[in-house]
Amino acid sequence: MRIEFPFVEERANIVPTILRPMARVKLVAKNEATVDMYVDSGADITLIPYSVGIAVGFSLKPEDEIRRIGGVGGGKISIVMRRIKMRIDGEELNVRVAWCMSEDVPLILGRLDIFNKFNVLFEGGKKTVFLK
Amino acid sequence: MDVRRGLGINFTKYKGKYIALVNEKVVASGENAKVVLVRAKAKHPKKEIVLRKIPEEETLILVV
Repeated sequence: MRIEFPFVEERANIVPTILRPMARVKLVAKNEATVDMYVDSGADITLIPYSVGIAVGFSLKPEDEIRRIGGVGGGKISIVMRRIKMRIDGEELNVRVAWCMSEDVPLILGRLDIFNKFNVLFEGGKKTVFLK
Repeated sequence: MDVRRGLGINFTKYKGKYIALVNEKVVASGENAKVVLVRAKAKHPKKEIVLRKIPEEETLILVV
């Protein structure tokens, strides 16, 4: 099985435009949402902003443990771990995601529970390929 | 299709916001994903709606 997503052209400030690896996936919890996510092989885990979690039906519970995770530059964000079904072109995965407690993060498709199911290639700098 | 082009999306206008796409055209935008989805579904109840966030920063170095 081969699933392809073309890179998406976006604006950048280092060059006029930049091509970024982006996958169109469906997130399924209580509700469903089809979202575009940056494919980030450097990200340990998939990350979604707060209101995206709300849109798919997440809610905070008293027993939720809020954790702090960080990235490049040392900045930290607060997250709650959740499980969600992710459909990538019909392939359904059960994926652990970091649900960010704020909005100021992009949607990131990271490695945990995904890169062990697919070989993920950035082919020719033009497309992301999920191979199974 | 080699790459998806900018599709006429006004990156300055939508910087840091969510956009809802129907057939790759922006049909709703805002700062809250759920609100944007609800608005888009109200306008296009039978179409597939795709939610996308336009980055605040123009250069992304993403590691989590």
